[in-house]
Amino acid sequence: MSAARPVGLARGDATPAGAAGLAVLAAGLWWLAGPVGLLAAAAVGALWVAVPAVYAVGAGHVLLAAVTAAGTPLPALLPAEAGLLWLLLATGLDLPGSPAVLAGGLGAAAVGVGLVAWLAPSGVAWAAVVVLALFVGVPLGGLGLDRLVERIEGGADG
Amino acid sequence: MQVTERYWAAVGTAVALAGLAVLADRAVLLWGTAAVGGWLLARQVAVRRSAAATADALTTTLLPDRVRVRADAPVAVTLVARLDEPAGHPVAVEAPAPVGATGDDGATATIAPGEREASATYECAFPFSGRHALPRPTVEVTDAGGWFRTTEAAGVTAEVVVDPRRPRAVHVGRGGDAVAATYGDHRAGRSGAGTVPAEVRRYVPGDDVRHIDWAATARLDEVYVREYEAETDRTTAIVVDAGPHMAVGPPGETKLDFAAHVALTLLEVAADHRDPVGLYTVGGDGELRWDRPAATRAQYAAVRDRLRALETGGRRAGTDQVRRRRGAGQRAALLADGSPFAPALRPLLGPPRERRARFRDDPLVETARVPLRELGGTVWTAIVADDTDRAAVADAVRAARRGNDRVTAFLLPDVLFEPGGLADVEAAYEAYRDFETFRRGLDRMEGVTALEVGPADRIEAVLGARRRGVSGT
Repeated sequence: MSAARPVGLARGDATPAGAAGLAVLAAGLWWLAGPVGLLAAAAVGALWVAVPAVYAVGAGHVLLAAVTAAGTPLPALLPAEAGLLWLLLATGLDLPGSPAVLAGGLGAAAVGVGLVAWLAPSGVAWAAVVVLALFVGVPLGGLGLDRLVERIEGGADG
Repeated sequence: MQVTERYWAAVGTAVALAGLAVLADRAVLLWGTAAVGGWLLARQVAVRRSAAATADALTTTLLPDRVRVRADAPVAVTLVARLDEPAGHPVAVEAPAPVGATGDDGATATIAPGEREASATYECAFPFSGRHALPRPTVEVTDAGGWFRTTEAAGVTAEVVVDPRRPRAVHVGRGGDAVAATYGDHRAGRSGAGTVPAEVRRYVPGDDVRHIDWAATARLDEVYVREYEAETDRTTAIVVDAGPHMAVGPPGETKLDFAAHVALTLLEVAADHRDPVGLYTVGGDGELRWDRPAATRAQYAAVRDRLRALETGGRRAGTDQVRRRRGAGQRAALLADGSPFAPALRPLLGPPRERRARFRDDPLVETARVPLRELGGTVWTAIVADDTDRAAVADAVRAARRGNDRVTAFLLPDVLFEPGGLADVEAAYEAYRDFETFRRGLDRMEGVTALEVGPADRIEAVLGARRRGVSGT
């Protein structure tokens, strides 16, 4: 981590470790959609180089949904999904204690994949609500709690 | 912890994927939501832990080059940041300048990757006297992706004590002659075994030749003798006129600046002897302010702080002891001689008397009376005032005398402080002579010592020009 504030356009998170994930994604998409899948993987790769990985992974999921048929069973999408997750987790290697970060990320990913697979038959809308609550609501709630603690501690110092 | 715009963009991405999943009825897009959200959470936890670890491993120190300075004097503050072990990333520590200080805004010390220490210095000045705390340094940590930013306080604060600007050359004496005397040991009105030197003065016929101070005689080319007095415990009451007329003079060298300087010196001498000290100040609108004398460190510090903050103008009267009461019986009790409220209330509620009326009208005289009303034992009253209202000063000196008590008047001649007052040296000399006549009149009073206080260069200018004029004729 650095102490400098980020300025300007977001930079890409391309790293050699992430390149392996891109390869897995390409293999998965080729298996699912052939040359079209490969093109989709190339697009994700280009984004991965130009912008932070999180946006590339988001776009990757959209492309994954686009190049596959609506009725494709979720387990069949797992290899491509693994590649996308690999791209994302590889960006945590710059953090101190990165093994813990990776383990936490893998754990969250496993929960997310399993939860969606379990809830999807009941309806995508319900699944969306649950996933949003867990994977967006919880981080935001933690952020608010963190700020509250900082204010309390800052007031005690003053 | 603060988040950046990129964080919100990522949250927006996750929410957009969820919306798209619902619209397109494709559950695979929810994997994207879970992946982005989970990644943000994992990174948030990791950054928080890393920032806390960095702050724990960091030692910061603020080192002002001086911990005690005069107002507006520059102070260089050095920030030193030190890590227990070198970090793999730069660590920036910021030390902001204190609020109200002029000069630099602060300094930032950045420890480069692989290094353990860095330092930076900023310069500032404090326009106001008092105790100024330097803000605690902070270390700001941002993760490489620019998603989170957290600021942790690091190190401890430091303090700079700022004294008000002081006069440069203070003359205390009689008729232009500096007084070679100590004002710490105090008279008991008697001599005897175990006595200590109290004052060095010119030899007059009849003095014991055994008391000649040969060091002072050799230094001053005149015969001086040293008086010895028995030690006593004595309360020191410092009365300072802080009215608007005391604000005359150049910045930092007004009459009030000189008065505060004299009073601070008297305080330090009394503190050295562990004498009880009380400060009595009177402002421009006649408001009195005083506290009960004590010989404690807290009292010395409180008086010191009040003298540093001395300003002209009105002040709250020391009326904490006064309470409103109703009824004639209570009124009589308040005005009775033994009542502690009588001095403050009699001018307002008591029957008018000729001398009292005059004192009532003059806050300086009333102030001089307050300590003697309240205190027992021997009291040494030091009155620090100018000669703007000579009658009031004389009355205040008379009011402060009592029995064995002594009074010392430190008088600031108005002629030495008026802007342009020395433009006409002849007129200035005549005005000074007039002041000197007044001072000698007070000095001749039983139990009273009257001294002049003023800028040494201006007294020399007045008297020196006169001497040159006389020698030239």
